[in-house]
Formats: sequence, structure tokens, C-alpha cells
Amino acid sequence: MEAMLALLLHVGHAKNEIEVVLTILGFVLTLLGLGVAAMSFWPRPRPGARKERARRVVRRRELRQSEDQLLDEDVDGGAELGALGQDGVDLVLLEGRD
Amino acid sequence: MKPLADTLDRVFPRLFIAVVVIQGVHVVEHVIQLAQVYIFGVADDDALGLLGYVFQFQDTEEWLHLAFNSSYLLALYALVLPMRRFTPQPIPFWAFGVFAIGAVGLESWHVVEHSVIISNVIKNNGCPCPGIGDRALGVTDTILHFVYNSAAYAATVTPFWFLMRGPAPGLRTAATA
Repeated sequence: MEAMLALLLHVGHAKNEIEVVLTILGFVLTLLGLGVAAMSFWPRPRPGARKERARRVVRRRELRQSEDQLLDEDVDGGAELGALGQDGVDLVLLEGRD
Repeated sequence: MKPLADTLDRVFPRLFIAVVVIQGVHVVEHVIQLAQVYIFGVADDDALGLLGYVFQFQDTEEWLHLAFNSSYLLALYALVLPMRRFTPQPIPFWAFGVFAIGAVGLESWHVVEHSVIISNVIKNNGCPCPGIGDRALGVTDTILHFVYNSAAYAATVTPFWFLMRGPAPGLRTAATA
């Protein structure tokens, strides 16, 4: 503690220990005061905004899952069509089906 | 007396917001003044912050500080009465106590100090212009007044936080009414 005070006295060109203590106290209070003031002016979230955002995330995930499912079904269908084409069976009929 | 109380109630939200913003700037001025002395090596009596270089009388910024702190103190007195209406909800009693002692009480003492300083400015036609606390504690007035201002500011924003962000925000509602 004494070494720290001596260092602060040397670095800060303070006259005595009271000046060091007052400077530290002043900076702590300044940070506290300006911080609390800034936080007071920070916009308050709307009531229920957090729940609404959570609901939106769940809904988006569900949509993505169902989209993936549809894509998987498309791929399966395409594979079946490819197999049919390779065999050369009903190819004309398939082309006509779009 | 009642018209005065009504007027104070009406201006309370805007006055409180103005006090928090303006005193915040004043605290930053004191931080700059401290930096001028302890980082840039400016002599104590020549370090005037920022506004001190613009508003200088008798080669000192003390008149500016006296005017500023007297206005701040008057504004704090004007806030005390209407603030009681917001106690204990949303401002808890302890936060009102912090404001009453830490802001109003300390700032009252601070203005007494400035009165002594200004009496020395008049006597010496400028500085050296010691106050009370700096002589008693053997510290520079730059540091002492930095602490006075930061402490009074921290005590001022304590009830302000409860009014703006507390469980039942009073000031936000009153300010938009």
C-alpha cells in the first residue's frame, strides 16, 4: 500500500497522500456519476419486447426447418426422376409432365 | 407559496434533466483542468479548464466557478421540494437522503468555500486565492474542487436514475405529460 502511494505521488506529482486519495476518490465518483447519468438516458426497452423477439426467433427457426424439409422432398423427387430417365423408361411421358 | 410549489412541480422534470446534463459538462471541465496540471504540467493558477479561458476576470476563472456553483446550488434547492413527491416511489428514501446530504449539503459547503475564495480574489485583485479545505488539508484547490464536484454529481444522479429507470418511472412519464 505504501509503495503504491509512493508510486502515485511520484507519477501524479501529488504533494501528499491526501491528494492521491482525493484524486482516486474523485475519479471513481466521476466515473460513477457520468456512468449512471448515461445509463439513465439510455432508451428503455418496450414492455414485452424481449418475449416478442424470442417468439420471432422460434417462428423463424420453424420456417427454416419446414423449408429444409420441402427442399429434401424435392431432392428425393429429382433422384427418382433421374433414375427413371437413366432406365429410359417413360422418358417421353416424364418430359411431358413438367 | 402554493403558486411557487406548482411552478416547481411543473418545471421539475426539465430542470432535473438540465441539471444532470450541465453539471456533467462541469465535471468534465474539472477533469480537463486536472489533466492540464498533472499531465501537461500547466501551473495550478494558469490551468483554467476550457470555459475558464473564455470567461476570465481578474486573471482567474474563480468568478465563473462562483456563478456556476451558485446557480447549481439554487437549482438543487429548487429540486428538493418537488422530489419529495416522488419518495418513496420511485425514489427510495435512501436515495433521497444521498441527494439531500451528498448533493445539497455538500454543494452548500462548496459555495461557502467559493465565497471565501472570491473574497481573497477581491482582496488580492486575483490569485493566490485560497479557500478553506485546501489550506486545512494541505491540498491544491484543483483536486479538492474536482472531488467536491464529482461527489455532488454522483449524489445528484442517484435519485435521477430511479426517476428515469426505476420500477415505476416517474420522471419519464412526467416529462412526456
